[in-house]
Amino acid sequence: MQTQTVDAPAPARPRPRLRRRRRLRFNLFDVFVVFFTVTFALVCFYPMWYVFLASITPYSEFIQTKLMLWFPQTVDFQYYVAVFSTEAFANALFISVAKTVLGTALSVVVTSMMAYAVSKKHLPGMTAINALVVFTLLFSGGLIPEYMLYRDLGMLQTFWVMVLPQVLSVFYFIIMRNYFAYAAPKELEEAAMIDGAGEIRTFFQIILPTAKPMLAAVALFIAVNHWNDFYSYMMFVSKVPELQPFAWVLRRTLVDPSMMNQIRNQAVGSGLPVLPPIGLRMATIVIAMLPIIMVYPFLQRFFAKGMMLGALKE
Amino acid sequence: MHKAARWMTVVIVGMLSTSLAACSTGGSASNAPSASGARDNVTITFAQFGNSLDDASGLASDPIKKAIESAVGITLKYDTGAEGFEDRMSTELAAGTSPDIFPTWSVDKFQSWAKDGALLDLAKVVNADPTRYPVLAKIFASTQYQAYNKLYAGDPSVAYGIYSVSGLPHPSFAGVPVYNQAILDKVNGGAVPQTVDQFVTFTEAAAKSGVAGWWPRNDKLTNWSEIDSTIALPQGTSIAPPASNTFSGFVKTGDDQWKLTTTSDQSKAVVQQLAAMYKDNALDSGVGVKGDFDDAYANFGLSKIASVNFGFGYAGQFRDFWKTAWKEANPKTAKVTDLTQGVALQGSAGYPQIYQFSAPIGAFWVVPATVKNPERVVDLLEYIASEQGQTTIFQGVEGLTFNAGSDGQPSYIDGAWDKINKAYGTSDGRGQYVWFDYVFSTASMMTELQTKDWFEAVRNPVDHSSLWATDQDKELLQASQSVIDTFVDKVVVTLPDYYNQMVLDEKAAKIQAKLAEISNRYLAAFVGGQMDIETGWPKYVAEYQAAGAGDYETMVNQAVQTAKTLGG
Amino acid sequence: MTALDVPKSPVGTPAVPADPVPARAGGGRGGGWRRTVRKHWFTYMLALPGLVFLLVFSYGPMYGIQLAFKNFSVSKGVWGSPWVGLDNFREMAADPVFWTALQNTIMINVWNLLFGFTFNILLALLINELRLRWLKSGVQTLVYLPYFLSWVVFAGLIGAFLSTSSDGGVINTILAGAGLKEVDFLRTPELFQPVLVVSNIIKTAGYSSIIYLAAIASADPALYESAAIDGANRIQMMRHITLPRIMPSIVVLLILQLATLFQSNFDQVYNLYSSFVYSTGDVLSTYIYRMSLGGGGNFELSTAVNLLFNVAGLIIIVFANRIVEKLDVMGIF
Repeated sequence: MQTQTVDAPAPARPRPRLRRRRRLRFNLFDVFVVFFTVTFALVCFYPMWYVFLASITPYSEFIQTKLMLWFPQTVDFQYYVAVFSTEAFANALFISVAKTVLGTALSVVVTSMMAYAVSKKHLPGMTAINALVVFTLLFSGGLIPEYMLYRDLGMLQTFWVMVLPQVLSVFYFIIMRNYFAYAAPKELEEAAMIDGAGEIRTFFQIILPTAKPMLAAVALFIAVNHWNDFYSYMMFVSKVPELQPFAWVLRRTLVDPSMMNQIRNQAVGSGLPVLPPIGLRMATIVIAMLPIIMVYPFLQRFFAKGMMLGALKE
Repeated sequence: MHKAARWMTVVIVGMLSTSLAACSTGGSASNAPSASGARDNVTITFAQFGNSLDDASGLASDPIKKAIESAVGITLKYDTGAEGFEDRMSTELAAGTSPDIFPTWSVDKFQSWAKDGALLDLAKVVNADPTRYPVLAKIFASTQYQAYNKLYAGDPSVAYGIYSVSGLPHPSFAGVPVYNQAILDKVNGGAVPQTVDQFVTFTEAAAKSGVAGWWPRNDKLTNWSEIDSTIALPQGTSIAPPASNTFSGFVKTGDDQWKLTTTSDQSKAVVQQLAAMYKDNALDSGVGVKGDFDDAYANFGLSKIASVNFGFGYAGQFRDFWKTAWKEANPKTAKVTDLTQGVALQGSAGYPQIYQFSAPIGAFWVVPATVKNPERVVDLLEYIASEQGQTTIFQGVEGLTFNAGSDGQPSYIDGAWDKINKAYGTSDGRGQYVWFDYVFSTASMMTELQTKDWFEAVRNPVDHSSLWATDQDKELLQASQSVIDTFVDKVVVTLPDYYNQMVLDEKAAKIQAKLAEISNRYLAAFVGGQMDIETGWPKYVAEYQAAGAGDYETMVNQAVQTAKTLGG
Repeated sequence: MTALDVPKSPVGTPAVPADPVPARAGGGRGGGWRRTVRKHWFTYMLALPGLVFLLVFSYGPMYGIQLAFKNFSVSKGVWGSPWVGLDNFREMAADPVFWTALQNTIMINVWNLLFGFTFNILLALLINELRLRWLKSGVQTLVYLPYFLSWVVFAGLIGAFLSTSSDGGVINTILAGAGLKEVDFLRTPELFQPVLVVSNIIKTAGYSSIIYLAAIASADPALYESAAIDGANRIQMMRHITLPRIMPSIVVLLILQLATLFQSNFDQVYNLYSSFVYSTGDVLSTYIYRMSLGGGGNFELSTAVNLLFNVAGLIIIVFANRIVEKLDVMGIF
């Protein structure tokens, strides 16, 4: 808690009206903040915007334009039609959603429960467990023993090998453990304990609600990792094409000519012309990113200031 | 609160039970039924690189697959992949879950697996019952096959794999530029450069007119073979570093005498020439930084590059280049004659000389030692080797994919093969099956193993691509075929057969890797103008020698002599 | 929005320990241990599923580490493969290119730490200061986007942006327009590391700042209000309220990043570099990649390199953790 020892002023004296007045002052600092963040945001936005434009621009126009800023002369959604006419895509989207939702739910529950428990450093054994977890941040047995393990567990070529081995997320375990140990409002927890609430009730009524922003952030990170993960499919499930996640389909459209041909063939089969690969790649990127990007604005509300106390007041 | 505790318990119990359930279902699925009878229908998995298995309905209705299954009495399963494929195959081999037949391209891997006893000795299975496997028995009895056995496994009678040979009709070579005819007309009076000097003049003229003169494919400036073959070899030197399985970097100075010329004075002169070209954009100044395929293709398509080398090793590659780089950029106006495939350039030393092995092994097809039904797996290989099998793969099923003509030449039924192959992610319209096509010849061509000697058959595979090509493809193929024929006559030098038996040890391989590192670094800096050639060259030579260039030259010459004594 | 009924100030005041006698502080072991477990059975149960997953999926395959000292044999398996001792390490140390790659890896990571890591914090702090709600969430969403582009695609865009003005490179077109000398970003060794650092910032800063924004979100608004009453300005509040709030997260992320001092982003470097910039751009992962494809068949080399640098990473985080704990900040152990 020492980190929190700030030379902050005396305890809270709530003045709702004052808050409103504070909002009105708009000074040079705000100008700087807006300028800096907006500039950076535009720099960050451009690559995505470029990919989107490239996915709706006909090839002959695309290669002549150096720097695309605005919509092309002819907007062409052929690439999207082609991508969606490919059989593998719809199924892969479904697998990705299932993998991400299930994997994230399991992972957030298991990781945060364990992180909370291990944050109780004074309980015997917790320090040792923590060391065990941290060790695996750096060390792993490598591909071959992992493969043997999944084989012995009968998990190869099943959906589960894309979910279960990643359930405990070490990186986010460490972050959450620290959060629970130091940033979580311990006073509330302790007060509740003293009131005789018991560990179970304290966990569900105090700890979890206050940790919502953190849980949301970690859920987001884990979901993104799950969404982007294709390695587990590539190594352990690749004999079952029906289980391929969208990340793998995307990866293949970027690097594997047979996937590109598959898309082109199926497009021709549904009456489209033979399309150049670059636009198809761009369209696939957009389709692969949209669902996971949409998760963010949805979770963003958890990061809004005051969330914690709002949850507590009830 | 109690609700919450119950919920938590449900979560934990649910989690553990799903894990258990996952394990038990997976476990039962992976227990394949073991074969009992000798000719029961068994499932055999065949793996090949780079196809796609996304089209389930196409796969289910594939008539060629059915034809092979009924001929061999098996159920075929396919396995494929591109990225991660080799790693996966090695891992699965170690875990005993690999396909029954799969390829590797790595000599190192093949040899270490063979040494480990991880692979099935195909010759042993065949020799136990030679009448069941007549074609394979004949192959394994061939002297050349046994020479390879000895090379890889140390024992002429032990065949740990099928050696897939890169056959001759499609020599792998480099050094022929393709020109944008309009630019050629504008800056060179339409004449195709015949010599290195003419070529350099042309690229400089093109650069003056505002376009890049020449794009030699060179991924991240680590692949010098195009530049080397086009500019350096005709001048009697090789600026490229040594590479495995080629004589890159070497010049032949006499019978079986090889000299490493990467850092010779002549190489220095060539590098100076290249640096001058690079400075003027006669050699595209984006080379090595921009992408060979996306950026260079796009710029060539827009007529912003006057000439390009992409290693047009065989006619089909020119056809594909024309389609992807030119036609896609100019969909309405593209004509075959817009592009002109040039010729190999002559220099002070005449035509470049590109040396190649008579029967380089392109891939090894292996069967794991732990395979469940070795005889049945070899049955499949025997079928693939047989005339009937080769016909099924390269012509198909009569009445379905082709009709036998009165002159003995089959005529293909339009679109029949396309329909079959589309299921596996190909779009080049080829009239042959996309599975099993390179088991014996990496040229993906029919081999007459039943009627001819193995070595003869795999070195001269049957190219029947003209039978199924479209008219435009034929025009494209013909456009480059004459260039290739001349090239093969004048440039490609096939080394004596005993060169196939040349082995360099691990130490040599490590020196080679280091030399390549050093060359890439210096050549890039010299050509890019970051290092002065006059002052930098001695450092380059010194570092090269320190890394063992001299030893490497000796090792190569010794390896050649050893191979000659053993095989010649 | 009635008066806040939070009983105490959430920070500062020493808390009453939940467990009056911390078991770690000595005292009755044996029986006390069992009693603690029985008393805190729920907390232990919370750790149980994670522990099971950890032991099965992380420690189950851990025996594979021995491969760094072995020559792996497919048929003999991990346990049966022959030992080769330190051969793999010796060979590595003898190669000068390895040392260049090591130096570059460390340098790039140090720059990433100095600029990238601090930029993430700055970005989170500034985003937090945006007062228009729609602008704030808009900016947050936009900066988060580049993370989702793969390096293959992103590197291609960077290449196009940094190319010469004749090729339409934006930066050089601007420089040329201003009458300045054009800069050859991707071919100049001295500029390659800055290009890596900056492109990494653009690609990941928005994503990385989320964790800080989440920590800031759990700060008590009352603190800001009382600070405002006391006349603190915005920068002071940022320094004294927001920054301490995210300090635990900063420390953890710092240690975690230190642990990867010898690791590099292969996808990023591989897609941006060329022989032109080996002297500053070649990192351990690209070096190993070239070595194992260059005919040397050096698979063992990569296992050995990984083990060596993971041990180094572990030592670094143990030390970093010590220092951090001395400063009375929570570490990762």
